[in-house]
Amino acid sequence: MNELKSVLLRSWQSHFWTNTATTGVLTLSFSLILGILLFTTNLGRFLAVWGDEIQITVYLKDTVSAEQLGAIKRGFQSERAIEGFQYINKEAAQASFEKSLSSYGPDFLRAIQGDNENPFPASYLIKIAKEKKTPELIAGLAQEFSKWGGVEDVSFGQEWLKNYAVLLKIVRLMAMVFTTIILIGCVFTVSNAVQASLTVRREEIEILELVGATQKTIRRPFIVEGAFQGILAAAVSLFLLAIAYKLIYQSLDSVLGAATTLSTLSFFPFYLVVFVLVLGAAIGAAGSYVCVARLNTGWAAVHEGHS
Amino acid sequence: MIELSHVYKIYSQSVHALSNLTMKIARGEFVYLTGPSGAGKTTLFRLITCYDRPSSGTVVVAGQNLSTVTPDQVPFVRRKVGVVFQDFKLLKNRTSFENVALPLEVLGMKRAEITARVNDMLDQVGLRYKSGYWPNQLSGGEQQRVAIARALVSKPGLLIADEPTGNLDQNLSNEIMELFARINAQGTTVFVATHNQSFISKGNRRVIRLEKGHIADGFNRPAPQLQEVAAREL
Ligand SMILES: Nc1ncnc2c1ncn2[C@@H]1O[C@H](COP(=O)(O)OP(=O)(O)O)[C@@H](O)[C@H]1O
Ligand SMILES: [Mg+2]
Repeated sequence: MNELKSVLLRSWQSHFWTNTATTGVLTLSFSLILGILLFTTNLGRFLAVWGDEIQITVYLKDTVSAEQLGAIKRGFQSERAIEGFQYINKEAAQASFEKSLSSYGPDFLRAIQGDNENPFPASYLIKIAKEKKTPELIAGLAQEFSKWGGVEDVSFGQEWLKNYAVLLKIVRLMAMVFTTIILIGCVFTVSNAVQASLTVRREEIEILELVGATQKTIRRPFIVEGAFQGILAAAVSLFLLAIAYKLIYQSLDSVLGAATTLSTLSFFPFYLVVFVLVLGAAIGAAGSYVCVARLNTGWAAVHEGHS
Repeated sequence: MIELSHVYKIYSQSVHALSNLTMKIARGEFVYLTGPSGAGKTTLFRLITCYDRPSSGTVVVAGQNLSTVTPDQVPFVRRKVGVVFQDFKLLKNRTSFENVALPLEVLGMKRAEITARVNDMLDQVGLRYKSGYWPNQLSGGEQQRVAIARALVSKPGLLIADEPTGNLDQNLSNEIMELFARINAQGTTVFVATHNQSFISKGNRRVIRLEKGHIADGFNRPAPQLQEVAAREL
């Protein structure tokens, strides 16, 4: 603990600006990557709530036979993605329609109904398991159902679903592209920054080698320091992101009002915060290790033309 | 203490820094290494301190054949040799005391023993009262004395100094050489590269003179004979 303190103190005292620059670059990169992660997961959640509204309705022919009904039921039961299904007979369909349109007046209702014949088909309302609910699966199931005997038509909010799928794809693709670009840039800048700070430390390494320090002894302080800078950068980025999240949430709240969907948004869970800190430390330590290992090879490490 | 046998160091086709060098320095000797710039003095010291390997030939230091040393063993060879450079090579972010303590920290010595030995060593070079000074608060001569204290604090048995007085005036240089003589009297083998003719001609010490990577004629004998040669040729 004492050694840790003295290593860090000495390093920050004598290399304040290179350390600050390295940590700053790390912080910026972490913030961007974590920001994208936070944005896409929350957008995904936001869209998933909309996705909940989607369900499949299978309309049956009036002429459907008992065997066909049985086959349809068995078909639903054998489909794993289906969590449950509800039969709605012609009368119930008519009743619910009448209820929803009653405000338009009884004349209108009678006009549609015409004779005493009930024009509404019986149907099955199908509930898809939440975790399996993807646009592709829903479209696939709907297509399959429409081929079954006794089925008149299948509806599943086709138009909306298509847009939803496209939107999700675009967001995911953009997130991937951005993250890749930032990661590549991150690796370059970090390795440059560490390289620059190592050039400053070259002398230090040279002298430690001179007095017979082992490779381990020489590398340890650099790795400790890299880990510290990584943790520091991760902590600062998380802090900045938390503030940004709070501000955006508040402004969304005032714009959207008491929209229920807002409650599905959330910051990173605790375990992820811990994971990010550990990852930060690991990245910092690994970066330092790679760079110091290049200078400190154990044998004839320093080639200085001294004549 | 040091034994070289048919040592070559070839940097490239045209640069033969050392060629067919054979010499022996016994325990307790004080030897000057001299010769013009580019003669190969630093190259020789780099071989002795494991900073480089010879192109061919063998180097034995303190009984250890350096051709068989693995990278893992290098630090342990370096601990047997104290090294002093022209440019001191002190850590700027450590005080005199901390610089001298470095080799003992590397050995993993206890705090109390480090303090005792560093203070004792700083006494020997006359700088105990500047323990807490930073290198940039010390004069060149003082910095070199701190560097010497660092080289000797772990009692290495062999001290190698590559033009240690190159950056110092004559008075300070004399002080440093007197310090080396004292250390040698205590039993440490001393091998010093220098350009300074006054030391070479004054002291009745053994001198090895390098020229273009060879030992110059007549300059690789034990001390007594050398005196005559030096008197004749310098
Ligand atoms: N790393 C190196 N690469 C190529 N040539 C070198 C290197 N180090 C030294 N030399 C050459 O080897 C010769 C001996 O150099 P050096 O041992 O430094 O001489 P001195 O210390 O006696 O002045 C010189 O010609 C020098 O240019
Ligand atoms: Mg030299």
